[in-house]
This record gives sequence, structure tokens and C-alpha cells, in this order.
Amino acid sequence: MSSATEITETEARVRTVLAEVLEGRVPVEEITVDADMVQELGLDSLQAIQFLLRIEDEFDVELDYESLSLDHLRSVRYFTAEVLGRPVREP
Amino acid sequence: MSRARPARAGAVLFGSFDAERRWRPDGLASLPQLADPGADRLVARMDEALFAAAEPGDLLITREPVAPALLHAREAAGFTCEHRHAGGPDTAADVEHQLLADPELLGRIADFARLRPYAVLPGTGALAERTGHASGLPGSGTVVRVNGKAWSSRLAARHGLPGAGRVVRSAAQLAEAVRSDVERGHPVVLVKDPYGVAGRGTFEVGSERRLTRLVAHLRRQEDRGLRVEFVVQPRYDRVADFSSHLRVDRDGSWHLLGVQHLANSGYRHEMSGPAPRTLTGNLSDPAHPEVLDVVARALAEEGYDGPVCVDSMVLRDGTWVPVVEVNARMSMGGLNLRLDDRVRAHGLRSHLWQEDAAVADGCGVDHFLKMLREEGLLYDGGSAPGVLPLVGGSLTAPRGRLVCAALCPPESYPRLRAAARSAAAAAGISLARPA
Repeated sequence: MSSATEITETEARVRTVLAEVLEGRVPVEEITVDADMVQELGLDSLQAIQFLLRIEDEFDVELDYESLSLDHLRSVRYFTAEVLGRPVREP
Repeated sequence: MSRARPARAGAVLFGSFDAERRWRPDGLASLPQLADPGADRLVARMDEALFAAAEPGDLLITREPVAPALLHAREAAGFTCEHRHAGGPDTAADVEHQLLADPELLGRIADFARLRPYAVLPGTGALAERTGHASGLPGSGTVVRVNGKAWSSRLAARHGLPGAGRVVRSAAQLAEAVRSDVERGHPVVLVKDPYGVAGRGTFEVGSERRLTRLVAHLRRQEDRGLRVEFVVQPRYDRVADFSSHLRVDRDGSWHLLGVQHLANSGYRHEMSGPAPRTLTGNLSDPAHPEVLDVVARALAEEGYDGPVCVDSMVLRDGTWVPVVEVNARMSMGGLNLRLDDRVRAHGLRSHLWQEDAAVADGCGVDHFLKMLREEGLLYDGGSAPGVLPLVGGSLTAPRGRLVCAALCPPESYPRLRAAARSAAAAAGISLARPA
């Protein structure tokens, strides 16, 4: 059984991308996998797009923007499971 | 026996700030974007800032009520005009449609000499007709056309102005235009929605992989019958942005209201303030007044009259891109110019800025005003520098936006803004980005 603070390799990569988009405002080690990206970390809709574009680069996937909303950016863990964990378009 | 109706005087100010979204034609393909109802809610409160353009005797109508404490602070600072708020039955409607459903306010609007909307939207024309102001505004079709980036790009290209963007009408054309810019030495190319809203309409292409994904995203929309129209332009190495504010009259004459230094954050307006005279005085090939004349004449030929904002940028190599964007409407820079006009007599200049904020539950503009007052930072209308919040309704939990003017000598602006940020933090309003 995994503890709540354990972080998978995918979550760690997502977290690194998020820290880059936040331009160092929140150090990567302070971003918990359950922190709300919008409410707690202050990610706005412009940064959210930058985050998703960089996720596409990092994982070499193509996201389906029409089915995405800010709600999917609830947390690193939620995003990793719900968006990266489901089938995405192959580039 | 009938009495003569008194001569109409004064103007009515109102209008939705998300004009581009309302101008955007149906059936256009879109760039990758995320729906953000929270941001839309904030933009819907921005009309509170229109008081900056109102004179005593004018009527300002906002979509929603303005906090009494903010109204009081404005009056104490010398900004007095009649204020009402719309209250139509459809609370989701924009202010134009709320007014159309409010017979009492329609009657009140008819008492004034003219309308001064933030932008002429489809609902504005109907409102003008219902209140006897139909002849005072340009047609909606004209306004939609000249506000599209395709129009300004074609204008710049037709007159040989440097840096003109290219209009593309298919995913294939877009790919070709981006690759062509890359081959000419531009590592990052911008793809702009013709009616993009506040930063959400610009897409940076910095790699072939990202271009491939964008093209696939657009091809899927083409397959569904959507029409592609974007402007492709290199991301230039800019050192300064500025905006020129004009008023174009019916007969094609125009006058320059002023020039504003402009700072953007992620392609979204962040700050407008005084521009040093040297910023535009040294521009050549073409000279600044020549460009404004080209834009103003073209707008008048299209049938537009009213306020205009032309965004430009100065590049590191000393050249400039004269027409980045033409906004045939009021603008944040234009509102700041009006504030500037009011405070210059006191030896002050106006610096308008906005930034995203996290707002704690139960906090808002009342708390912010209280902190500004306690710290001696609230502008009181005299010659002492101070800060005046321009919008109160955007300061609501959990996500908000701080929109303020710092009225002070230019050298004091950074210090005054920092002090206002500290006061905001003490009022439960945390600013998202470092200053």
C-alpha cells in the first residue's frame, strides 16, 4: 500500500513542468501532489495553457483540449491520473 | 399644453469589457484553450473602471452594483458622476442586454446627449436605437471588421509597415507561414486568433513538434466545417511596448489623445503609464504620426468613428513594429490617460495596473480600502501621491484581480505599487506573481 506522500515518476515530471510554468514562485519541492493548482498555487488560465503545452512536449502526447477544463488541474495527482492516465491522441 | 423637452447634456458610459469574445464570428476554428468561467466573472466586473472616463454630469451604468465604500472613495478623490447599475431579469446577460430589458433605465439613458460605450457590440446598436442615439455610433458590422487582427494585418501589409502579420486561412497555410518565419531566423512564431481575448488568443510555436500538434488540432476543426483564420507573426525581440490613443471623427479627422507606456504579462495587459517623449520621438521608417494618420484614415473610410488604441512595439535593434494591434474601442491605456489628465494639475501622473490575486474568504475591496486608508496610501484627490482601486467587484474569493491606479510622480510608482501590494496582503488579498 502506498502512502499519501509517495510520488510516482510521472507525477514528479508533471510537478517539475508545473514549477517551471509558475516561474519559480513555488519551489518544486514545496508543490505537494494534492495541492490545488488553481486555488492554492495560483495557476491562471494563461499559465494553464502553457502548462498543458509543456506537458505535451514532456510526454510527447497530444491532449484533447475540447474535453479539458480548469477542473482537471485540481492537483498534480488528479491531473496525472485523469488526463495522462487516460488514452490521449498519439502525435 | 406640452412643455419643451430640456436640451440633452452629458454622456452615458457603460459596456462589456470582453468585446472581442462578443465580436468573434461563429464558426471560426480556435487555438487550444481552456474554458475559464472564473476569469469571465472577473472581466464582467471591469466596467466599474469606466468612472475614470466620466465627467461630472455623466451617467455611469455598471452591470452590477459597486461597493458603497469604493463609490465613497472615488467621490472623496474628486471623481463624481451619477452612478446606476443594471438589474435586468436575466442576471447572466451582459450589461447591454440587461439594459435592453430595463424600461426605467432606457428612459434615463434617453435623457443624455450621447452614449459612450466601452465598445460597440451587437447589443449596443439595439440599445442606441431604443434610446434615440442610433445616429451617434458606428455600425456593428464595421466595428467587428476593423477590430479583427486580420484587418489591421492587411492594413499594415498594404502600407508596407514593418512587422505586419500574415493572415492564413487553412491549417496548411498556417504551417507554411510558420515554417517560413522560422527559416527567416525567427525561433518562436506567434499564431494569433483574430478576436483573441486578453492573452488567451496567442499561441507560441517554438518547435516543429508543437507546430505539428497545432496543425492537427486545427485540421480536426476544419474537418468539422469550422473556418480557419489566424494571423502569423514572428515573436520579435522587443524592448518596449506602447499604445497610442486617438479619437477618430466622422469626417476622417483625428487627434492624438496621448501615448502610454504599456507592460504586458503573458500577452495580457498588466500596466499602462506615462511614456517618455523620447519613446516615440525617435521612431522612424515610418514616423509615428504618419502611422497614426494611416490607421485613422483607414478606420474613417470603413465608417468607424470613436476611440482607438493602436498598440506598437520597439525592438532591440532600434526599429519598431508600428501596428501590432488596432483596438477600435476604449482601452485600459485610454482610461489611464483620462486619469492622467485629471491628476496632472496636481503634479502627479497616473499608472494603471492589474494583477491576479488569491482572495481569502470574507475579504474584499472594503478591507483593501481600509488598509490603504490606515497606511496613508489612499488617494484623496489632492497633490499627495496615493493609490485608488478602480474595480471592487473583482476582489472576491477565491480568485480575484486587483485593478488600481497609482497617482504619483513616475519615479514613485514602483514604491507605491509595492506598498499597495503589502496593504492588499494585509487585507487578505495575496498577489499571485512577484512584482
